Amino acid sequence: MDISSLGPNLLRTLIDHLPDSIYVKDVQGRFVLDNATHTRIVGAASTDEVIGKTVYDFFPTGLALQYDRDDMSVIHSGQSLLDREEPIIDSGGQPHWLMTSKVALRNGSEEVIGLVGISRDVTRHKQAEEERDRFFQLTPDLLCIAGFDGFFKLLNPAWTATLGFTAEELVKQPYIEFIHPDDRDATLAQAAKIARGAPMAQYDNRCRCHDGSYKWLSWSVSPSIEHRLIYGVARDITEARAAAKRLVDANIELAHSEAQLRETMAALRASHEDLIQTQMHLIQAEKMDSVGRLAAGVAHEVKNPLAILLMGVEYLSHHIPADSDNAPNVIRAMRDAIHRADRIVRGLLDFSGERQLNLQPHDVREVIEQSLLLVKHELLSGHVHADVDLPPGLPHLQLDATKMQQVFVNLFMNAIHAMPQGGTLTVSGSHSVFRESVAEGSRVTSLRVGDPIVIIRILDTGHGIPADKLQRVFDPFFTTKPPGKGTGLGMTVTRKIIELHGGTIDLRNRPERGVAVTLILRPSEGVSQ
Amino acid sequence: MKKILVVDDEPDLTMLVRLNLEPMYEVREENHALKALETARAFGPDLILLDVMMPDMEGGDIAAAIDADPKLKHTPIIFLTATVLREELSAPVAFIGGRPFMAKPVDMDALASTIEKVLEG
Repeated sequence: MDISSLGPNLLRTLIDHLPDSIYVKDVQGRFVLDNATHTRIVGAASTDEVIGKTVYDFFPTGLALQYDRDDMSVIHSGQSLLDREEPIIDSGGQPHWLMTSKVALRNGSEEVIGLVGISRDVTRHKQAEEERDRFFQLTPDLLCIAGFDGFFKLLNPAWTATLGFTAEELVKQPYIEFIHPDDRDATLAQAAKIARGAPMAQYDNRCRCHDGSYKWLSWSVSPSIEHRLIYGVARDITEARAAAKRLVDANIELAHSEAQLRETMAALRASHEDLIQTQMHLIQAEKMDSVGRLAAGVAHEVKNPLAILLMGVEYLSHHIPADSDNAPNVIRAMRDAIHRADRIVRGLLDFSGERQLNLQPHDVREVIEQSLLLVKHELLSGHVHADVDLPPGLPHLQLDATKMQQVFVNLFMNAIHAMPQGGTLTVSGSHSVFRESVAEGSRVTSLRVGDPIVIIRILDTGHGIPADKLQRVFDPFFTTKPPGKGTGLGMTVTRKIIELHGGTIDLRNRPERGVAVTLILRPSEGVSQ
Repeated sequence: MKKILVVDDEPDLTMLVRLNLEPMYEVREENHALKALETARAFGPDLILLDVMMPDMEGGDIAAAIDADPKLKHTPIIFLTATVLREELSAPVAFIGGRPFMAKPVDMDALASTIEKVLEG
């Protein structure tokens, strides 16, 4: 086939089947040739309708002027215009973007006789590019491209919005300069990992703002090893982190409040129980008061008959027949019975006795030593050794010395009676500060936590008190002693006296052996020694 | 023989005090507090045993009257009482206003020895 003989037919076939728009214009800008694509774009039915016409015949004047200016520039200068992006409005009124090249057309003598134009429709490409740019410009995320050299190459406007630095300021120095000093090592380590080819890195760091504050950024970074670039997306999580911290704090606070609430509830429950206890004690105290008043009246009336009985027994004892074997025993039994009745009556009077105390500042050591003197005989005959450990520095106490002496004599006598085979009576004292635990087992007290106190401990090595009886030792007329030995009022009176002094008494079995009595007393205010 | 006046509103008590003390002393009983001073003047006792609480007159008032009487003012008094005072707790014999004081029921031996001491003193 002889290709050269095909001439114009070959040209037509070629240009009509190209997707690009192709046309030829003369030096006046008139179309002398176009292909099917161009005919369609200008909205003509056939190429014949195009030939001889200019751009002014097909496009709005504004566009036509621009095209014409470009055409004339090529024709007059002979210089090609390459890859010129130009907008057009197609025959349907739709805007398009064309990528156009215009080349001067010359005759055999190199004279410009027109131009050849080739245009490609790049509308879709252009739209995609615009969308990408818009996305880059408008996203609130911080997008950047950084080089392996440690500098930012490209930053979107979100950087300025977030940090306050302009893009120019940001690209001027190594990006590590903007990272919080504490986060730099970790950031550089991530960058190195990326540069070694890790496909992706995700980490958080703090970035400095223009005002000197720092923002927490959460990074997602991928490398392009080939281009020695890092593509980064960062999100400002400062607020989210603060919110998370607030949530954690709030949770801690909540847990704390809950614990406090539980504590308060427990305290409330405890004080409720205290209240019930107090109420019962008050009822008991009221009962004991009535009993006491009754007892005092009865005791007084019983004393005269007892006196008559005793006098009678005395008289009879001097008038019994000499030959009587039994009469002296009868007399002795009657005398003992009268003395026993008398002791009970005295105890009752004591118990119901006056509530007024004659309070004076006393050295409790002296009171205890005097009490020990009063039971000296019982200690000796009972083979009981007294071990006294009272430090000299104990503060003075506001005491009714006579009544407290009664207390100590009573406690010492109980201890001695609890050691029929002999043993050791230990009396010790210490100076401390009130805590709930030291008064455990005692009744309600006016002492408050932190009050200064004096603790007196009286220990014996006797047989102790059976557990079932321990609760009742303070009850009136309760006694662990054999009949006739105790009135059952000693501990009742003892506790009453201690409580009148604002103190507490606790009595319990010692784990090793015997009984421990703990007295807690309050030092005189403003008196130290 | 020394003379003792017993003043108490309980006749049985004064009787028994008399019966117990009679071998050693001459004892006169008086059960009416208001008559005590008059009886004492008439009897002229060496010692008076005086109940503290009586229906008509307190023992303390009788003691004051005796102190005020020129004839009786040196007569020693021993108080007897059914009331227990604090002083009584620590000793078998206590003193009120310088006078001995004994709690009922009184032990005869203790009473006898106290009387003896007071009369000697």
